[in-house]
Amino acid sequence: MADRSTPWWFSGDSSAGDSAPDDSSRSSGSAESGMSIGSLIAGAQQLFDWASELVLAPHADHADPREHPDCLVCKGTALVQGVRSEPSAPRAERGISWIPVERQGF
Amino acid sequence: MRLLLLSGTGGAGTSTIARATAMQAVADGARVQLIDLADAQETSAARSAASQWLGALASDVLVLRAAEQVLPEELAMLPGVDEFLALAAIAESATLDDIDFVIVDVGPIDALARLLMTADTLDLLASSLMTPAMAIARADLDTPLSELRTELQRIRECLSSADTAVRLVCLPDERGIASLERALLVTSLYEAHVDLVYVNQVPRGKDSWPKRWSATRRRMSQRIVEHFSDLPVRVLPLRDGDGAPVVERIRVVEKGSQAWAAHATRSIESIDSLGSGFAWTLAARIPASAALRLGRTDDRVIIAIDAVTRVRSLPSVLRRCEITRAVASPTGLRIELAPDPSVWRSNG
Repeated sequence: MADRSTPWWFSGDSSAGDSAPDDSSRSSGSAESGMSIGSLIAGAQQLFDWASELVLAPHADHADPREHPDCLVCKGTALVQGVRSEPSAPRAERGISWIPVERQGF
Repeated sequence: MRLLLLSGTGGAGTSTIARATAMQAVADGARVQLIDLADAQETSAARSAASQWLGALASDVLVLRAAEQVLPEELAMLPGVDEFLALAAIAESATLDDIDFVIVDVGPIDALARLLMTADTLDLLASSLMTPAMAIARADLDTPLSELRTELQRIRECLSSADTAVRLVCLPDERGIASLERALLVTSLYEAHVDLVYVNQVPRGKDSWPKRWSATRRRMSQRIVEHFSDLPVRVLPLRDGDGAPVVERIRVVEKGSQAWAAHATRSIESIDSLGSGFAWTLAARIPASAALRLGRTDDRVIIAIDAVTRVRSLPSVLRRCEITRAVASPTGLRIELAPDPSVWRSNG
């Protein structure tokens, strides 16, 4: 039966010897919740793998960001491109509106 | 009391001219105080005043914002603190009744720029920190922050007063024109009046300086005089022999002349009514090649000319107007505004 303090993403089968959620490891200082550095890294790796599978893998075949509005990476790419291509003036900059200045008599 | 601020390019002899000016003023019967800003910042009186102001900021702003009590000494490394100390020293002298002239050796032109900008920026910062609710709730209380604003206002009035003048010093070399252009831009944008420019260490033809070097310096001196033909420019000779600048006594103004009593009034800004709005004209000496930017945020305009920026509060009559046009000329900036229908209450 899984320990109640073990997070949902913790597999419990980490190869690290001190990561087993037994009483002896729980009593050691930094592992009050039954975790250790090894298990945290393993969990982070699992999260990264999950994100990669869900987001990056589908994006691998996307050439033009405009053709894939539902893809998170394409959406971000299109946003960055849009910001870069905006004209420099007049523009809003922290609430500042810039006014063109004419020159006369120089 | 008249205030003279002397500033110049490095090694141009600003300190020597400041001292010579003070000596001659004393010889002419004036009561003079000479301030060297490098020393003034270290004087205990200035430190005390600055400490008081920093304490005001710390207690009124930081504590109000639920920060821990901050000691003034802990803020000593704040940017602009040197200029703050300098302003404290000048303000202190400006209150003396028994002095005719306060002559300040400001030092390099960058120091003058920072000095003029600090008073303005601190006032802007203080006004931003005083929220309307705070101003109303504590209007009748003598809060340190409102005291600071009053003091800054006094300093700004003193710096832009008709009784205050800036004197610039340069050498007759390639840097001269560029340095003076920058100094004149800063002083005009910050409403300080330049009443004289010294071109120092110009060799005379009769002296035994190397002919070619001497001729180049005299030619550059002439170029500076012609370039700034709208300003009084005084050429000071380089003494023969040891290369030291002339330590002749320099008159502030001719004794008995009208200028001894007061400067002529001058126009810094004006608001004129147009058919459909207003024209706000600000005096500034704008170089032909200057990069110009004009911004608006709420009730403020941001004027950026090359590396010099000034934030101005819009006069109250112009606050509910939108800027329709901005025109820069060598003598200033003209901003045209029209009432903004979105903020003017309709009577219909």
